[in-house]
Amino acid sequence: MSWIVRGLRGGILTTHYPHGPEEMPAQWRGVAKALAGARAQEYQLGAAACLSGAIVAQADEAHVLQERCFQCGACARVAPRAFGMSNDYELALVGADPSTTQDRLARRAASLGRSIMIRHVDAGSDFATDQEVQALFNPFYDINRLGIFLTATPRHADLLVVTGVVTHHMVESLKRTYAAMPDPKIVVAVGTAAASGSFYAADDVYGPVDRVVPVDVKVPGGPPAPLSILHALWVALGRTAARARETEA
Amino acid sequence: MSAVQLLGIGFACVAAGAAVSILPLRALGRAVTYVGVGAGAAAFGASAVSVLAGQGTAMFALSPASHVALRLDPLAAAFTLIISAVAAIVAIYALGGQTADEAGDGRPAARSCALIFLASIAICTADDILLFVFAWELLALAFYVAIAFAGTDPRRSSAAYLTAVITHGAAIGLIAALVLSSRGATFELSMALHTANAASVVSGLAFVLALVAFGAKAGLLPFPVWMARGYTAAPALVAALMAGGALNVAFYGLARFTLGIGGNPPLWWALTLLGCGALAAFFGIAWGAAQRDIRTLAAYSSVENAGIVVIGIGVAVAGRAVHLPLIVGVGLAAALLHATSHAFAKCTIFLGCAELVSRVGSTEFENLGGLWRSLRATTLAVLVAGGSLAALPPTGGFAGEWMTFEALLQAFRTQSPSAEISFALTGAAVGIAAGIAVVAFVKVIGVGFLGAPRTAAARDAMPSRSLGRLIGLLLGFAAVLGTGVAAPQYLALLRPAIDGLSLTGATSAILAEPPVIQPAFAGFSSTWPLGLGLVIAGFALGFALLVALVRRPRGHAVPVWTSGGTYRPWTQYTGTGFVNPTRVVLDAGIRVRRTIAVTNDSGGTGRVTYESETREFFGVPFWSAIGALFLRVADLVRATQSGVIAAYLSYILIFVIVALIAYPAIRHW
Amino acid sequence: MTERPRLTASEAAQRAGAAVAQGDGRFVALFADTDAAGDQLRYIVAAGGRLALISGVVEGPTPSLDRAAARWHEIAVSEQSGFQIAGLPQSPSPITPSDAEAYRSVGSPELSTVLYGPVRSGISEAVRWIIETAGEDFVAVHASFGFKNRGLERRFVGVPLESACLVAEEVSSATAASHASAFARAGEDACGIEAPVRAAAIRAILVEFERIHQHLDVLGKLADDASLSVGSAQTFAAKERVHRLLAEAVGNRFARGVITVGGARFDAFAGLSESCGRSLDALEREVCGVVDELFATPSWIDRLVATGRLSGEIVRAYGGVGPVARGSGVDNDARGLDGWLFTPQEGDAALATDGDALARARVRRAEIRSSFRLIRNALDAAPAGPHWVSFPTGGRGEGVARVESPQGELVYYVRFGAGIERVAIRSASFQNWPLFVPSLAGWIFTDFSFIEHSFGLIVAETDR
Repeated sequence: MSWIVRGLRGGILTTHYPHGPEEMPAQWRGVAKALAGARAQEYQLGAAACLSGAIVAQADEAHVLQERCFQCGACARVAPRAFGMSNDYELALVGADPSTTQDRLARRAASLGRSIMIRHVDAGSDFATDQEVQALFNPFYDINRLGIFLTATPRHADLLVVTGVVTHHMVESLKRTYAAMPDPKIVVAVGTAAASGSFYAADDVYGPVDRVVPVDVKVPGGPPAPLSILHALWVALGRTAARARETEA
Repeated sequence: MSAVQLLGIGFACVAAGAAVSILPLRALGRAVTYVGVGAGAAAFGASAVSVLAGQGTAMFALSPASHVALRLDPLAAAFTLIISAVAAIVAIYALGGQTADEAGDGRPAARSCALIFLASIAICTADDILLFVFAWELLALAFYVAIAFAGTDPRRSSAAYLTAVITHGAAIGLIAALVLSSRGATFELSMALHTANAASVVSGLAFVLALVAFGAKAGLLPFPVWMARGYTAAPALVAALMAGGALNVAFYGLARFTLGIGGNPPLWWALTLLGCGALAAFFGIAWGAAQRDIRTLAAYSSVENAGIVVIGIGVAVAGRAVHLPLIVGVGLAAALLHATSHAFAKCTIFLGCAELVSRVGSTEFENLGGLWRSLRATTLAVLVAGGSLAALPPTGGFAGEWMTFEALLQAFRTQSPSAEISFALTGAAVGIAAGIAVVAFVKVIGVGFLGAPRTAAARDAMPSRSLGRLIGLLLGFAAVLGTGVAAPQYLALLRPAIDGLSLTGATSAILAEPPVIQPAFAGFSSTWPLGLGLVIAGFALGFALLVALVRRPRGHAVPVWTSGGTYRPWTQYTGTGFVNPTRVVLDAGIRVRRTIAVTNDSGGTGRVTYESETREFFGVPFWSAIGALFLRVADLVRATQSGVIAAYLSYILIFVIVALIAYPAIRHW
Repeated sequence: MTERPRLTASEAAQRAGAAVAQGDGRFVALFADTDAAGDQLRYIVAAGGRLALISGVVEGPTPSLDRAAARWHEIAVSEQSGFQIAGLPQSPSPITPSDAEAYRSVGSPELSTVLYGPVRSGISEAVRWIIETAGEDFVAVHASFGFKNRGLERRFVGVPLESACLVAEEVSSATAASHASAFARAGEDACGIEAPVRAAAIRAILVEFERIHQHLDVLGKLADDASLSVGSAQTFAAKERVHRLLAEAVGNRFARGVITVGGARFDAFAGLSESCGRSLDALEREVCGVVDELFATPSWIDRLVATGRLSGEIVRAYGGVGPVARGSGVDNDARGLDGWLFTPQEGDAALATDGDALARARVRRAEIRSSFRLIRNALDAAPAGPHWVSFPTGGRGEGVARVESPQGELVYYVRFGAGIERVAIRSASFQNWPLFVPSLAGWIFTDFSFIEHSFGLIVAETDR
């Protein structure tokens, strides 16, 4: 009985996103962005501070490879005039031209109707990314209201969510999971490690997810906030376009 | 050709076959024996059909003093027909070649088959008490021979010993029962029963002893343990005849005794039969489900089905007790129908086991799996037989069990509280048993035939190319289905038997509204087995058509999903694992003892051994103790065998004096 | 804190064994290293409330300590480094995935073997369980870890100390603050400096917040297992509130990128102070309210009572740490030791003795309450001063430090010369996983997730 009272007293916690606006706290670090007008040394300083090599600094400018940024904020701290951390949480990356990609993804997801089943695979994650995927099911985000559910078997899955860099031992399992899913299937790589391999050494891990299975949407983050993941899922279903931004050089 | 002549031909064929098997003619001798069995089966079958079709009771007596008197009345003809049909199927199968578990060149097994068949028919047709007892003992001996000598199972000698102890021991009850019931000074069986008074105390005692004797043969509690050991140790081919054919003599004996006796039996006879049947049905299948070998499971399934047939007979006796002839008819019809369907289903499943033994080398679940691709005929045969034993439509098992349930539902007509309560409890027990039977046979099909092969032998199994075996399996398959879909026609054939014992037109009442069958009372309930079969087939066909016609996108085959790993056949359910929840729930009845021994537990991975065995009530330890008791008595009696002629002469003198004194007293009793 | 006479590995093993055999001795870690002196085996033991590092040069096979607590360490070390340790049992590696067939240990065709993993149901970490069962029970269970081995211990090599905490956080980002604190303190120990008090307060607050959200994660998963959907939803909602507070206070929901060697990267204390001043009271009410509500739900308690019982003896034998150990009455809280400020008071010790899943859950509830108190203590203390102190670069050093992570005692070893040369991580999960299989004895499949979640261990920090 008291659970009911508690729930009623708590009111509605669920966000309206993606059907309404939402914000992350002002101090929350999204991905790094290069600021214009700083000196070359400052760009170099910031690039040197980046453990995952996300910053490409050339002469008087730099740009951030967003799929490699894991939101540590080191670059903005050592070179505050050259780099800043954006507060934007809509970080999904789709590679090629975002608008045509949206059409393609929408067509693929059309037959899925209003019910999407997600199969999650931990390919070698840092566990926080998994917890952020899990958070999508808490009352604040409640993706069940959008028709998105979790399934235990890939045979019923439409969307494969992979967290973590792919370790050598998980390559086959990831391939088998992907193969076991019926078409049409969509793959989302969640987290910087899954998207790009982050700062992991090339010999010790197999690589990012797109080295094993074709990836439709990547969302960087250390770990990505649930809103970012939700945005990425929405992009993956073709319901919205990823924002045009700098991706792989 | 008259029924008696056909009987004579039948006996001659089978006896000749048995004789030929003694000659050292190897495979030819074996084949000739089975031909004899087959020919005899045809003759007996024709004889039975002619009796049932209207020729009336056939009788034959050699001479009053020779104790050779045969009588084929409709009840005997019904059972003769069942046993002969089973024997014919077994003979045809056997002619397809020697199976792997027949010892030597197969002649001992053939000889056993012939003897079993001969003895069974002799029991069914015997009209002389001594001949009946002699045939019964011959059957018990044939069973012993079959288990001890015809097969290659390493545990056959202990199984045979157990069989002998129980069935021979119970035969004592038979002799006593028949003696007690012969009020009149006659050796004629039917006359002796007819002149007895069912209501008397002596008859009651005789009934209990007869129940012991026939119950031991049928596998009612506390006797079934010999069946499990015996049917597994005998070659599967012979077991088919034992379980499918010879088992029916127990039903015949019970029916003959309780319904052939003069006067109306008291109600407690019926309630006892119902109680024994219910216990056998429940515990039989509960133990069966937990077994590791298909043959043992089938043996316990026989116990369950024997229980159901006995329930049918019990209802018939209750009908006699409360003077409702239609209930007698319903009960008897149920018993006969179920006995027939069980006979064919058991025969088919054991023939399927014979195939498994020949092709895969084992009938233990842990050695099977994945056989539905390679052994299609066997899979189909076992599937249908299993379905019948689990009472699924449209097989005969469904028709028989349905009829039994309907018979039990007539409880309210008996107007007797004790009858109503026991009918209800019995119905509940049968219901539970039916549920467990489904679990047991899903295990047989699922673990034994579906999935992936568990051993190399299962993987490499090739179907046999033998025509005889294929025809045998096909006949079994057809018989199982036929008993179901043609149940009305079959009951019509059995009309003289049912009407003869119920003394009313029960069969007409059952078949009053063709094509359905109903439990004799109009408007109560009905079922149309053929119709069910057509509907099921129609659905299956319709679905297959739908699947074929609907255009589907081209898929591609991917391996089985196993949590991201590769598939291994040893991750499949084992038989024990599948039935474990049932075992846990029925723990009080099934009483599994598990031994888990861990060796080398150094915190790393040590070797663990795991063994489980089901401990039945009145299991091997109990009967070994009884056997030891017999032996001890024999030791004591041996003291009288002193070898001194004077002692023997004095024994004779004592016996003569006692007889002279006692005879007048007994005579006036 | 460290001993460095020239020992052979066998002598070091002997000393370690002797230290562990004493009354309050406990085996902590073993790892292999190669430095200027050659191949080394380094033992870390806890004796007299302090950590002792005993290193020895490898000369031939080293005898095994023959203790349950050390077994996984010894197998891992001998497998990964190639240094022979004599007397280890033959078994498939528990830390590198082997072919599934190698794990089957039961010689009976009656048992099925279930391969559960590495891709399991729901959102779970990648680990494989080989379960031999007669249908529903556990006759034998084997663990196959190593699927998530990402080579992170090696990744530290060559990374400048000021960035290295980011690598530590990646080992297990859910417990990023604990890993970063442990690495930072090991680094500071090696440099011979001490972080300023303000930084210690930041670390303490972040580790306690981490304890709260990780314990809420465990309790939420337990509620989910019991199909207590409302309870689970409310618990995860409470966890979400904690993350939102952290995002607002320090810019990351898991407090990554805050702690570094020498202190903190920025004055997180100010942000924490401000956010907590606004929301801590409401958060505490909400969190404690939800947790108390869970414990007042009989259907949930029923599933946890007596489930997965571990006796105190077996926990001590395996050197168990954290709430798993405290649930069985074995307390080895790393706070209050080695100069960690803001330690639990005497009465705050969360200890239970039943050893079942409920006891472990109770321990977590008590720890959540205690964490809130500690956070307030730290905020009220409001130590002034810098949030970072510089450390000497160049020169050699090695240091060991431990932090009480939500799973238990987390130990880091750091050795550097020109750059970082060796980092060894002994997480609480690595120490506690061997206790999982014994706790399954006598239970059935449906209890598996309860027991697994009641342990609340992390595979990412086990496999590294």
